[in-house]
Amino acid sequence: MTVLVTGAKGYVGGLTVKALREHGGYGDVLAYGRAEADLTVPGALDTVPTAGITHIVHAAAVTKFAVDRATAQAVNIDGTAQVVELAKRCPDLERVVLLSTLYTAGLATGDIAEEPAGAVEEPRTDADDPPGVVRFANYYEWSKHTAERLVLDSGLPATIARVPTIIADDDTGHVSQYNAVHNTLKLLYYGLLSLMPGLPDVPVSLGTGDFTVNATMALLAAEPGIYHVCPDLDQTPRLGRIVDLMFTAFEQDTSFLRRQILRPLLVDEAAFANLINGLRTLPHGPVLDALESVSPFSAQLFRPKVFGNARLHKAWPGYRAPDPDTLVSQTAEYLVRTRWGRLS
Amino acid sequence: MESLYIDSFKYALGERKSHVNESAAAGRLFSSAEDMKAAGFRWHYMCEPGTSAYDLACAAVRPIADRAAGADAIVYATCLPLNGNLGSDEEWRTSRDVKHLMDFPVSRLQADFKLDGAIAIGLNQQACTSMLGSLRIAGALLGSEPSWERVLCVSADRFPENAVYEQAYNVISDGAAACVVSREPSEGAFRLVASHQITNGGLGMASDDETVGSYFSYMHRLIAQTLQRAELKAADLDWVVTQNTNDVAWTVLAHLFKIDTEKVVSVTLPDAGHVISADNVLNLAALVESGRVKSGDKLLLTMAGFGLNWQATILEAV
Repeated sequence: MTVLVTGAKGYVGGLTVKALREHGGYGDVLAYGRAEADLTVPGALDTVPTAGITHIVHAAAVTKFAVDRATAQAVNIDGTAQVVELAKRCPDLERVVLLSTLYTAGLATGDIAEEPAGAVEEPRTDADDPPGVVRFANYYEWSKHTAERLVLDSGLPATIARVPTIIADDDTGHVSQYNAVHNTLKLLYYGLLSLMPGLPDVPVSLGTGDFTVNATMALLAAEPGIYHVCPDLDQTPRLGRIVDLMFTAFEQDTSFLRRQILRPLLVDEAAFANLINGLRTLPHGPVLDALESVSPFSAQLFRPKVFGNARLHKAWPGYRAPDPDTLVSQTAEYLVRTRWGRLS
Repeated sequence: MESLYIDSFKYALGERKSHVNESAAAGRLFSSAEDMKAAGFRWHYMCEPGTSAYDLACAAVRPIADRAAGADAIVYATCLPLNGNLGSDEEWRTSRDVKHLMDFPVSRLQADFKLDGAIAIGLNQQACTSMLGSLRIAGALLGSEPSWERVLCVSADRFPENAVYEQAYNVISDGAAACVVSREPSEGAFRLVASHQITNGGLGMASDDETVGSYFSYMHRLIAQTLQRAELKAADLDWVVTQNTNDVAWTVLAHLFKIDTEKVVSVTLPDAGHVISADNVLNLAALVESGRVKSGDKLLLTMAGFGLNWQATILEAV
């Protein structure tokens, strides 16, 4: 058996390679990073020796909420198309696993099933959509949805693993990959952001690198299909609770306490849009940069979703999700203690 | 509690009027003219080299000298502490005599305007909120001195020569403001309903980004607590008379409090910029001049300043 992993130098891809080599029992592991195959270059996978490849884990992706359309198309869609073509050439293929996102559900609200979403529609917020059309908050979601379609329509034995927002490596709260969530927390800690978009009761699905990779390992051997790699609803913290836990952790820090930074006000989309527009009139700085990186996701914080994960439970008998309060608190404590990694 | 009234709002501006294009080209702004115009600024005023903050104070008080006559106290506020001393820096350096650091403008004002019975109080560590701070102090003084009738409140500031006329992304004007707080209402007076202040010394030397970053949560708290003190709701407000700052600030705050933006008064922003602690007086004077204020109207005045300080006052038109 041979497993080929794309995005092997990335965060989840790298953890997957490590897990496969340490515990997998999958034989050879072919770790493909951008140096081995830049998926934005046509034909990047043409020279991969296909014989013996039984599994492909496609982890290569651009995961920024603020990704532009062209980059999302080139990396997440065209790159996936190349992986699909490679998979079709693999005579021994048993499974191709696409690491996707829970937010391929787009701006839908309510119960989200582990099944294909509707027709692809590019991001826009003022549309009067026909039934079955999925709208998205950003090009990241759109491109991952499109990538899912490519894989599902390929006729390959395909598994889609829709993963949550990863905020730490493991239950200890250690962080080795920083993203827009961490940047937002940094703004809050330093008192640079006093308004946040969102409804306090919106569930925010958070995960760890460990949780995601352990689930992925289990799914390699599971039936093909779509899986929501996320904690159960009762293990999913609400936005207001996350903010409270973060600030409780921040307040253990004497320099934070001295500055008397107030907890941010959760505001509606219009107020947040006004804030962004106002900041755009100020000289360019880190606050606007960080807000611009998270604002393309902000629409999701007004659209409560409940991600069903019954198929995940069935496929992963060892399912174990981190305790949400502990994860959030430990992560915040780690970020403060290391000043967002600078002191670690 | 006995009612107190505020009236006779006057102000004065530096003599040199400059467009933000001109000031940006002259290096008087940190930001570009385009950024400042996007924030709503167009013009601002600066003093000529020989004009002091005290000269501005006199110009603001002169039109209301009759009303100020007989004042029991003067509360003289400055944003910049250096505007609280008229002494010669050169004389201090050559003589090493600290009396040259204590030539107080409030004492001069008392003498120059023949306010002989007035005691002098200086207020110089509340930054741009100091005019609202002086109203609060005046109210407290009248509350504790039953025989007193009125207090003259003055704020006056000019930036030092060669200073950059921008603070926390606001274009600055040199200016002064004055008004009278009294027991008896005169024509055009407002009843003082409530005053409130929040200070966060932990952000005393906040960067511009920290100042902007903390603005909304603290201003929200300030307004909520001020309304609570006055036993009012945001919907009860007829006017909000604001600081002359980036006009998006009150677009956001008005939305949060569900206040119609038509009620938000910062009409002097384009022409005058941020006149340090005099903004409320400029905007209130403009609102009164417009004839739109009617008896019984409730007005919220807000300011944020270094320190960091946030102050608000609620007035009711008599």
